[in-house]
Amino acid sequence: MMTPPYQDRNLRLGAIRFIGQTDLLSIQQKTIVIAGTGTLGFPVLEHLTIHGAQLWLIDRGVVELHNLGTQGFATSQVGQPKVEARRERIRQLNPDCAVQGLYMDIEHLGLGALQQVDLILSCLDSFAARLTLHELAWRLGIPFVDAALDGSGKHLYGRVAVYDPRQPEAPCMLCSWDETTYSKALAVSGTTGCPTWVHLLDHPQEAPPTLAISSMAGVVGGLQTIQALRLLLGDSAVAGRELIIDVQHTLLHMTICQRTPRCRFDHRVWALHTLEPGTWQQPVQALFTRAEMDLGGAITLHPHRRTLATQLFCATCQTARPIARFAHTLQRADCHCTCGGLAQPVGFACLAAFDRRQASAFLNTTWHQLGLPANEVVTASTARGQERHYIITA
Amino acid sequence: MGLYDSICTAFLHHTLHDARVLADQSEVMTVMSLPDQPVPAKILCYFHHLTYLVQRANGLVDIVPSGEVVVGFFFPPDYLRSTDPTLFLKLITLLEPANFFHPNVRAPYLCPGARLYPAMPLPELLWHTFDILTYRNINLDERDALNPPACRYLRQYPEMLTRLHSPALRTAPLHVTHLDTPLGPGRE
Repeated sequence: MMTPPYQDRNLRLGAIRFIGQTDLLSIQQKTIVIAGTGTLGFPVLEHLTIHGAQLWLIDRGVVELHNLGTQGFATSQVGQPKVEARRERIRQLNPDCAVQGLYMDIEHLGLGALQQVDLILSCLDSFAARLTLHELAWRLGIPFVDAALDGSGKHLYGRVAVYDPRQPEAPCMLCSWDETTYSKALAVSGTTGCPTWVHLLDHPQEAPPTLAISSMAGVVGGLQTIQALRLLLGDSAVAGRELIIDVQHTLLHMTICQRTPRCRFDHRVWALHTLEPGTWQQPVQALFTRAEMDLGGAITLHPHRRTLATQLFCATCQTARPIARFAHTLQRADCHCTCGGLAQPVGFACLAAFDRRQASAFLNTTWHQLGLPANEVVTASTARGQERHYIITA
Repeated sequence: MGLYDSICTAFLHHTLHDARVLADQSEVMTVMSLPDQPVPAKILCYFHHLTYLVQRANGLVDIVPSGEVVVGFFFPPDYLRSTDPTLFLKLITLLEPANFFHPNVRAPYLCPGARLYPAMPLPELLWHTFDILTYRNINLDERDALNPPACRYLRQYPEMLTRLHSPALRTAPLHVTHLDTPLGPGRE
């Protein structure tokens, strides 16, 4: 039932032919993820707040002084997590807008956590995070609108691209990537010299700062929001379109992308099976048993995007220590060796998949103890090629 | 990622085949995949007849005139499109000898430098590794090397480098299947 303030608020918005009163209601029932709430995320979340969509904000960042000039935070918000600061702003703009903030790294987000989402918007500044989010969206079959700003501080360029895994033969983000793009993405991630694993734990991947003015973000974010609304209103023609915005020369280019057989991504959308709540706290063995019942035969489990470290090795005293932990969750404290050195995971001893025999050392360990994020997906497969994707529910 | 998809599986089979072709042409290398794996994601490479330095338990550095070095390669499921800065740490593991003495090596870790890129074919990885094991590729800047004492040693005794270069026995051009060639079921 609409409250009078609601009707007053949306009187003019509902009269816009592009949206309409009925469509406005449908937009407001959708859940939209905005990953990255900085320079680009700011205008996007403001627009969607005005429309009253249900928002999930994901950002691992904290408001810093240097954010004030480009990202629209108040001085009093310095030190707050960005998602919290944005939630305050959203509540002021539209109290009817339901908003949830996830103060975390995209890498630590379980795939199943986004299962009920209708649309994912990427406003990120990092190649690696964008790639991760793209894969999450595609596996779940959720449309994905990616936007980027030229952050070099030299040009007024922007880009907005729409990917829709629900459409057969739709291109993905990686369809237009070549070897140079992949190398660049890896280089941007900071692989230079001989860093150690522990060094990288202490200094997590940081994208270079985005040197772009907020008005440029307003242009690109506005276009991203329009493309998102078109998708939500069922306009399938936007999928596979990439807009390049060159404000310096007042140019807007559109590229129609096509799926390429040379793409390194397999474009599969996964059908996920939600396990009963609490599976995250159950031992690995229970999932083997469940998968054996569902699929029959010998099972191999493949945790999504995670490699399991089974050994830590100290190069100082040349001793190995068994461990069973997903490598991304290791902290410096886990790596201290009794000799005073630092023990690190051994690549060749890492497991991307394991059967019962390989998992014998950690069969009775829970997924939580292994460091798997809650609601992450673990795929069970058999030698006959059958597979099932389970959400390890918290 | 997670699951080895059809594209990555096809890539691994192709690249293992290419590596075996390379090994067959060489007298210094044997390549094998670990058994009982659904995909050849773990590869063992034995480098024979290499001349290298080892550091003994008492700290003394010795030269091994003709020895064997065992290196393991682990390809994670996202190898073709990885942006993981720890990729090379996962990828290459020096298994034996544990006391191999080299600026880029701190067994079992081996740093191939910044030249690595996602989907690098195994034969290229083998050449990069060979270049390191034969001291053709060394980082003498100890601020950026895995094994600073080895940097200092080789700067102090540069003449040692001339004794360490094992012959590269490549007789034919390097043959690799790059991803420019479409891979995967029904694409060949």
